[in-house]
Amino acid sequence: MEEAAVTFTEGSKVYPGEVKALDRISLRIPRGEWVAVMGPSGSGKTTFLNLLDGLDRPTSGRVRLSGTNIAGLAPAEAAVFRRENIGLVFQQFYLIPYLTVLENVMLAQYFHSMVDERQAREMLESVGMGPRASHLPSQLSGGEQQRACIARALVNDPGIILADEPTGNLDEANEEKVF
Amino acid sequence: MLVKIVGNSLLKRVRITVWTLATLSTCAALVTLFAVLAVDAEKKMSGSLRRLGANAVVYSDSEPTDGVTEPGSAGTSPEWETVKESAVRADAGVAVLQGRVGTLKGKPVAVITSDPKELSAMTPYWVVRGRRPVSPGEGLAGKRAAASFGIKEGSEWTIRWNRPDQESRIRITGVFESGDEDEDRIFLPVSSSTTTAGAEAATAGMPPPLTSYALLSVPGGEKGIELLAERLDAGHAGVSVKPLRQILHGEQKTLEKIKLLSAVALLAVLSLSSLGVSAAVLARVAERRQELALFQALGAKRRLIVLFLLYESAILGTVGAAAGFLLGTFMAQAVTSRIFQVSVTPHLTSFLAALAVTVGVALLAGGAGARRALKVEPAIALRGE
Repeated sequence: MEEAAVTFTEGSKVYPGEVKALDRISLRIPRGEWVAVMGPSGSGKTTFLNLLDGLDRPTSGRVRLSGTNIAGLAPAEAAVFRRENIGLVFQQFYLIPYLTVLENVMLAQYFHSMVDERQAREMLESVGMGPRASHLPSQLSGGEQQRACIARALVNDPGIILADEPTGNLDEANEEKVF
Repeated sequence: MLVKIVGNSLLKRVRITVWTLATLSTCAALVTLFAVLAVDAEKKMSGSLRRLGANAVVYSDSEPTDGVTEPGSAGTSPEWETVKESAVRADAGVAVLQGRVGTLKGKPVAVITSDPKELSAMTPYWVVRGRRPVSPGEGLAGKRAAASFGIKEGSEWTIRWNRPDQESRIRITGVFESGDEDEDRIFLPVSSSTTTAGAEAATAGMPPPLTSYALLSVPGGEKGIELLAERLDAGHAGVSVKPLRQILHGEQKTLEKIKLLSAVALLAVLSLSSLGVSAAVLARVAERRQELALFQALGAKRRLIVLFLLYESAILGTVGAAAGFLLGTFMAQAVTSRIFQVSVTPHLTSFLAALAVTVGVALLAGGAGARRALKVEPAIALRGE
């Protein structure tokens, strides 16, 4: 059987104060699939993603991405794994306010290996943000910021994209542009 | 890229950057002020204390025993010329004195001749009633000599020397108190800058001096006196230098106390400013908790995040040190000109001290901030908790 992109086995997360965010979740996502996790606010979607990308650790259970037990990695190793394998899209965008859109995309390249301005510009062109490359995040609309965030997530050609409510802060028009 | 990130981070966060720079500059200014005072203080304070008068005396190893007064012998014999030259090179004040014994009202009296300006510089602590003599034919009597002979200001006297045809007529312009054996003596002015003929005229009718010595006001305390003595030895001047222990001891004590006080003040000020700098740098890091968490989420190496924060701290420290150095030099200038009436010149030592301390403190604070930043779970920081 082909190795799954994501395997989540009996994963639980309990926050201090016995707040159960996830309770023995099991999930297998094969390569090349798009999966949307839906649920009301506070149902544990962000917690689930944080366990997948190694930003947080499960209280119990196993989390494997491309065959690697990410929950067993030290924070520094998890960071290395993330930059090599995962592209993150955040609901709040998290663009660096003092860097231009282009520099924000190049930042991901810098952390990954080395900067390539041409490739970063092409990535911005592909999400329709070419003309806004030299703008600061504060000069962009919410939809534009999210597209810049997507360009940043894709620029290193990751095997797995994890997007946390990528259109949660956008109006309908911008939502369509993002997808 | 790192340079761009650090540069933009500093320039786009004006408020916190200015605040951090202000604390770093204050730290650097205080370090500069104390460094300048520490380097220059001893010299300047010693110079200031030198205004209190002589701190060393120089005796001739060979004294004239007989003969006639040579023209220009009032402090201008070759050995004393060497002493004067060496003293000038050592930035020291000097007065050459010559002693003779004459009689006044049939009783022996010690008479000292010296250049009035030089003597005045070496004995500023004398309390003079009347005025110091300035021209030939005038004299200044010590308090005990005045009491013994009944000398009053404005009175005229004749000092007889050991030969019947030799005598000097003087008018007493003042009576002084010194608290030492000089009070038993009468001082006559003989300008060392007069021409040979003038010097001859000034000492005309006097026998050759029985003794010669020089009073010195040497900067640098005991060390300075030792150096001058070595210099005179090397020049074969034929003289011995002896420190006036009581005065030197007092001077050394004063200098030591001032230095100790400066060191304690510097330590206190450094501790306080370090706390201020640390607080500012830590606040800077705390403000960017989410940004640093994002760096981690995007896969930045922890080492790179630490480097980024240290690089930023080093730049802030360097700029702060430069600004603080200018401010500190200005403060040092104001302090020294007000207290010592001298100006200080900015020097490399104080700049290096300010740079090392300020950048060091900034790096320590930046390192502590980085450590704290990396302890935070990125998921928690990104949630804004």
